[in-house]
Amino acid sequence: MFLRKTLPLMICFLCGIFAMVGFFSAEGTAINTYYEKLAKWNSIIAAFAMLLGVGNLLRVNFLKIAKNHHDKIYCIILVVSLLVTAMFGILGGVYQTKVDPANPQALDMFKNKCSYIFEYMMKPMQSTMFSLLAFFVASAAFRAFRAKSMEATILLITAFIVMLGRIPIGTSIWSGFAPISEWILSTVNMAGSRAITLGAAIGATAACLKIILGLETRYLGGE
Amino acid sequence: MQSIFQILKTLDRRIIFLFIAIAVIITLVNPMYLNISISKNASTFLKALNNINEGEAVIVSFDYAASGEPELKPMAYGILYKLFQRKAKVIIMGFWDQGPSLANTTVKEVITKFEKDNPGRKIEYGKDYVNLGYKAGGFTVVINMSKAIKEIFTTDNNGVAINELPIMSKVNKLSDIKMVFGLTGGNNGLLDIWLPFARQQYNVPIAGGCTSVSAPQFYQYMNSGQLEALLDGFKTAAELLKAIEYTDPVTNKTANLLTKEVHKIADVQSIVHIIIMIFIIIANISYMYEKKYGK
Repeated sequence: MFLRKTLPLMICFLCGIFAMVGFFSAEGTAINTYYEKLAKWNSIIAAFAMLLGVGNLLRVNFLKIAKNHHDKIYCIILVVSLLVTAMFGILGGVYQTKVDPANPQALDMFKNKCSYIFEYMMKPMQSTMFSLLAFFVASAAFRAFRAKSMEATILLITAFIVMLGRIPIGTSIWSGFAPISEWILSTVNMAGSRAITLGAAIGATAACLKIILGLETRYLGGE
Repeated sequence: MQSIFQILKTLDRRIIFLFIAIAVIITLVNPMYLNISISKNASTFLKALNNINEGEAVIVSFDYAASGEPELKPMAYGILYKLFQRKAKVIIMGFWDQGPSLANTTVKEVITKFEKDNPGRKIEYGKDYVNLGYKAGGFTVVINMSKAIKEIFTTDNNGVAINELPIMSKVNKLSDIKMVFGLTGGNNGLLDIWLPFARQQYNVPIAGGCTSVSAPQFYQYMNSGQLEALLDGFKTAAELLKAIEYTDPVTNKTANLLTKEVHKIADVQSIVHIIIMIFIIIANISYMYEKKYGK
């Protein structure tokens, strides 16, 4: 009980209070110094979190492969891609620190393979995925963007003005589109956006306080 | 008439895809080179770049992946070129793992163009610019940078000790940085790291660039003065490139960075937007007809 619940709650409380008070305290004060130390620890934990993520990803996918899940082919591709990329990346990194001047090909071999995967596989695939958005946005807009009510009509007209204001052809059609679009974004949109941001920030503060004070314990794995 | 609207109502999405694909291909083959006028956002950004003086250190943070590159690379290109023109000390880093690698490609292209345009000027790694690479940890990296950059980044992206690089001799902490230029493709960048920590906590001026789709959330920071300047998508990136001028060494005339390739993409963006709008109009006419006359 102590190790599973009380200790994590204590760590969370102390870290949370230090981070919160440290943020608002002046530079050079003791609490601010501990706050900066805490930030360093966070960087180290973040690096370890990546390892945890990789471990979890492998566990989930190996389980699916073992259970002969209907998506197992994708799991195999994911695991192989992960291991191959990691191998070239890690070995390239190791050779980088222990580079033998007499044998620079060893470094080039691993570094180049990793760059090759990044440059000729990952970049084109990511770009392709993002490019598909143009097609799906067009199809979705055709099916869903209807002036069914007054609010929807206002939204539609506003969207048209903003779209025309943000493309060169819009300015060629009428020079007024760009300033109106800019006004919509920097005035009308800003008011709504700011309200959402402030609301979300207050909500996040409340949620964080609940976690720091131990009122919210679901992150420990319980109900 | 009814049958036309019936067909439109049940229009196969592959036909829409086909229209978009044809429009993109035709525009790329036959670009119109539509006029690009420089907006307030682009001119404000150029003003921010012009405020950087010789020898001043700036950070350019590449917080995006390949998916955001089409919109953000032209911004990075323009920013880096102008910073080299201003003889600034450019420190490249990234909170996205792919960012610094993408930066390497962009910076190489910029240097090739810059050295061609400015005979006699040589941009040297370690002296004029450095790539510190990717660092995990988000906002905590900025907090630590406020104390000692060299403790967080002990080596550069190539594994060279940071203390050996002349560019870092006068850069010890975040307050030594004149301005941060954050190019962001989503979370973990300008909005949640540089603005709340570097700007708000340590008072370092921030200017940024983002994709069009995420632009609306940044306007509030422009209005409040927390963000010095903003490039909100591809259009303003193209405008910035047009606004950055140099003297062509061959013709001795004033030229700008807006290339035909970038101009072509601006045309494609225009045409695709227009097609989407036409489809929305058709869909709404069909909807209104159906609403008025029934099935």
